Amino acid sequence: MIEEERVYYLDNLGFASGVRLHWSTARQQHWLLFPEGALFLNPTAVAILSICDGYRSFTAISQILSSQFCDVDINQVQNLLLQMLKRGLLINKTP
Amino acid sequence: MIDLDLPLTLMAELTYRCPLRCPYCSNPTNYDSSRYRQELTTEYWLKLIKQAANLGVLQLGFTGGEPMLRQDLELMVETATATGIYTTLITAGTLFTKDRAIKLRDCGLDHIQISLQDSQVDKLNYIAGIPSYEQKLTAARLVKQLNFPLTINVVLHRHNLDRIEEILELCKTLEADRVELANTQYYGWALLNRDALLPTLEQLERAKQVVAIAQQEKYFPMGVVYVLPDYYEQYPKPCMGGWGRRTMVIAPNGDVLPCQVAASIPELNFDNVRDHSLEWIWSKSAAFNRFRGTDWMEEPCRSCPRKAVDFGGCRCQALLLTGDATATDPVCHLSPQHHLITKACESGQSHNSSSFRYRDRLNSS
Repeated sequence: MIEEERVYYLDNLGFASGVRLHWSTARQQHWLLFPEGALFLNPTAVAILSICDGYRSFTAISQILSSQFCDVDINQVQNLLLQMLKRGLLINKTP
Repeated sequence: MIDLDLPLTLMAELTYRCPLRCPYCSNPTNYDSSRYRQELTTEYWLKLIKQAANLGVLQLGFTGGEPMLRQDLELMVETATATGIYTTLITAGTLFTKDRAIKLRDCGLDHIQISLQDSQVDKLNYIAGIPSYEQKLTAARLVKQLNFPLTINVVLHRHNLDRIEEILELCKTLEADRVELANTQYYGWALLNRDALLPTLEQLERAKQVVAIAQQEKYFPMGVVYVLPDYYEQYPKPCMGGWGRRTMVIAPNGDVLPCQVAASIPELNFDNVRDHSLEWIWSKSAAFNRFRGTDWMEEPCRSCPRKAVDFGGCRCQALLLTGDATATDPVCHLSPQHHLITKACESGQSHNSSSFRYRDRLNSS
C-alpha cells in the first residue's frame, strides 16, 4: 500500500479550510464539522483538537495535555492526529 | 418502540427552478406542477433553520434546482451561521458571481459543491442542456480563491464513464478538496432516460480501478467518494442511512420528506412546515414513521441478518420497479423480483441511444 509509505509530520497542525469544532446545544455534545461530515468528539479529542492552532509542535501539544490530564497516552494523541491528517481535516501549517 | 435518533442533516430544496436541464435530475418529474409553484417565503426558511438547529441538525445543504436563484440565500446562510450549523451550497455554478460569492463568504458559508457533468466542453454542455462549461470552471476557481473548501460532484453514466481519468484530472487542476463520483440512481428523470444512461459492466470495472488509484494516491486531500451503481451490486444500498434515521428534506413548497425522491411514493402524505413544526414531523408524522426501523418489512427482508445493515434498500426503487413500496429492493439478489434488474441491465447493454428526455426549461429568473 502506497499510503503506508507516506510520512506524516505532527508539528504545526491546524484545521484545513472548512473544518471546525462545534458545540451542539441540542445534543449537549462536541462535534467536528467538515464538508459532508460530522464526527462526535469525546472530551479528550476536544482537548487535543482545540489546541491544534497551526503553530504548536507535537511536543508542545503533549505538554499542554499533560498539564491538563494526569495520564496522557501519547500514542493515543498521535493516533488521533494521524487519523485527522489522513482524512485531510488537519493540515500541516508550517510556513 | 424504535429508538429515535436526532436528524443529522437537513436538505433545503429552495426551489425546483434551474437553468440546467440534466436528464438525470433528482427533482420530481412533475417539478413544474402547481404543487411546487408556491415556494416557501424567506420568513419560513429562517424559522425552519432555527428549528433544525434546536432539533440537533448539524449539516444543512442548500440545494434545488438552483439555490442561487433565491436572492434571500445570503440571509438564510447568515441565520444558519448564527446557530453554528455547518452550511453547504450545492450549486451548478452558472449564477455564482464574485459579488454574491463574497457576500456568502461574509455571511459564514462553510463549503461549496459544484456539479460537473463531464470534462469536455461539448460533452458537458450536451448533458447540462445549456452551454455552462466555462461558467462552472470560473465558479470553481472563484470558490478556491475565496478559500472555501471545494467539492466537485459528478454524476456518472454511459456517456462520461470512459473519461473518468480526464474528469479526475480536471478536478485536480481545479484543486478540488473533495470529489463525489456518483453513478446515476434510476428514479424520476433518470428512470425515464435509463436505457440511454445505463453503463456497461466493462465501463464500471475500469472506473473502479481508476477511482482506486485516485484514492490511493490521495489526489484530493479530503478524499474521493465513489457511489456504486446499485443495479450491479449484490445487496441494496442502505438508502439515506435508513428511512427517517438521519435526514430530512424540505421541498420548495414546504413538504418535509425523508429523502429527495420520496414524493414518488403515492401512498405517502407529506406534512408541511406551514402546519407543523420540524420536530413534530420528524417524530410524529406518518410519512417518517412508515418505513422506520424494521417492523414494516416483509420477507425476505424480515428474517434477513442484513436487515439492520441495508434497511431493505430503497423504498422508492422498490415501488418504481415492483409496484409495491414495502417489497425488498429488487437490487438485492435475494429479492423475488431481482430479474427486473437483470433484465434492465441487459436491455441497457444492447441499446446505444444517446437521445435524452430533458427537463423542459422552466423560467430561471
